[in-house]
Amino acid sequence: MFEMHDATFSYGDNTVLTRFSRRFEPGRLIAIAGANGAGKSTILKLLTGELKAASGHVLFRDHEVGQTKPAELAMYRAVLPQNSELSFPFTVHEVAGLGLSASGLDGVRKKHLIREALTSVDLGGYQARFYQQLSGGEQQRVQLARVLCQLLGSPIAEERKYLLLDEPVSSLDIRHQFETMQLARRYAQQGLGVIAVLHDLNLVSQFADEVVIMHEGCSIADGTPEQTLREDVLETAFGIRLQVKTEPGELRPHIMLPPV
Amino acid sequence: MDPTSPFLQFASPVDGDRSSLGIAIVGLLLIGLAVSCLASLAVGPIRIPLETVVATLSQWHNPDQAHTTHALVVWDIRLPRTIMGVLVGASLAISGAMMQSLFRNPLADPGLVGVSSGAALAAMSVIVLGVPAVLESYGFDRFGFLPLAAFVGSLITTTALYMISTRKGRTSTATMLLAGIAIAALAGAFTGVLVYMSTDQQLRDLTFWSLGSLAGATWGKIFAIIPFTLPVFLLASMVANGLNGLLLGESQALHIGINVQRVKALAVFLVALAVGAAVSVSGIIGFVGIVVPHLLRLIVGPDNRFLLPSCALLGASLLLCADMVSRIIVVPAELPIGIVTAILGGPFFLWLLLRRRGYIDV
Repeated sequence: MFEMHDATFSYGDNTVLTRFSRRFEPGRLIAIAGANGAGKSTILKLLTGELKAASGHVLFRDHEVGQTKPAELAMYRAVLPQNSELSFPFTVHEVAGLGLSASGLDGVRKKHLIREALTSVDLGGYQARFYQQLSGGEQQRVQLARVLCQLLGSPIAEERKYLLLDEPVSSLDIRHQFETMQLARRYAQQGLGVIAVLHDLNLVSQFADEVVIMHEGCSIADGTPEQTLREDVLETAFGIRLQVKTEPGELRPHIMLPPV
Repeated sequence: MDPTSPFLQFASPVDGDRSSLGIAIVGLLLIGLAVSCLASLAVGPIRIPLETVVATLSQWHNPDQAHTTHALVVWDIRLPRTIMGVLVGASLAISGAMMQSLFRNPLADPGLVGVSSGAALAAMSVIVLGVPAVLESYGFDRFGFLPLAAFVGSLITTTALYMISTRKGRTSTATMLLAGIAIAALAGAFTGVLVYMSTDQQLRDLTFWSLGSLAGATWGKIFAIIPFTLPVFLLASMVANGLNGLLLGESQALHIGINVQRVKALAVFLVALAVGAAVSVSGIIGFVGIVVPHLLRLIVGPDNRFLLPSCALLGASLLLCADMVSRIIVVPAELPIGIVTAILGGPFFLWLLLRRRGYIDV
């Protein structure tokens, strides 16, 4: 399990995360939302080990993330970055296969896993295409397939694995946004911990089991979508009065822009 | 990106998996290298028929053959020159490929970004200033010390270049090329100082370094660089996977389980070993490190597990071919091989720039 205790991080004088504490349980889809610069990606980067907390602790399975070997962490968690550029002409098959670099898998099993991952992101039949010739959204889905390959190729039990997603749907059309979020939810239902930084509050509301709303480096609300996606909370977080409505018989609210 | 982008490839199997293709290419290049080696032993001012070459080599244990002219040419001139060509060509191409993966940039080439100049400057300093007295007392002579000095020179330049052009795991092409120009200019200035200080004999040696040549090949030089080149060929497979991960960017490499700092340090070290060895015996031979990896990437793709071995093999063959041209084109004199590779590689590089125009600005 991922745990953060009083984690603080700053770039120079600019503190982007202040004494943040939380446990990230497996089997849940946990969404982190908030305005630009509120500290969402910082949380994710502390969890991946890319950044090291100035003070406090970031633990994975009771060990400091920063002191765990990259190869060991890679067996337990995979990370989808916001954007990925590749300077060399890889095929889609090869990019997805990079997720299996540390697994030592090769041959038929590797091919099979790659095909499975590509199919699950709706890119079956794209194996031989060159990554650079795809659209931004397609590239994002190839990267998601690479991340899924990493998880599928790890021998660790599902309930102990994590999927960290940094704005996974930012370049996707609405259908692929929906499908990607469904995929993430399916993984959470299978027992994986899914932690996603998301901008679209309606996706947060429809798909998340738990929501963390960040504002200026602190968590200002934490709980189910109906507990956290409230007009007053969102006004503090985003500085805009959004309309939150819940249809009769539904639990998850809909968030709308104010009338123009 | 439009389909006319610079990423069009020669071939890609229908399933996008080029690993069997990569193995086949390595096999083919191995045969090609064997053929180039035989040709390199046969071709030159004195033509030796292939069957005589083979007969001479197969009689290696027979001391009587040492008296024939052909045997002398093969054993004392052509064979050391061929082996040195193989070691230098393979080192140049593999170091180019490694640098390009390390910098995530198809234009990173030891010759182009000042690493070879740094190595050459260190080697020239040894020629003009001599071996430091401390090391001389440990039994280092000039030829034993040259590869070590060139290695230190290339290690310093590669490290400096990486530190200057990479910020937060991203390498800027513009910064890298400009830093390379600055490093090469600085090395050039110090070379000028050495030229000013040098005697006539030293001046001849310095000219040899700046033009690049395999002409001075001896068994002694080969034994001097083997401790530097062998680790490169043996350890390249250890960094191949890590370099593939680095192509995704440093943070993603960390995410997929690559020990980024270790891979980077090892790659810089291996590049410095390869460039140091090559420059210390043959001077600056340009363009092998950029042409060979680029051609092979079109066929086997950027996967370093297949790219690095195939680069070593093609680099060796190509340098042997260039050396044969340099031996026979102005008989009885010889054209320095650096001129041959520049004449062939220069236009190729310009074509590369034109094809990638727009992309390089990223």
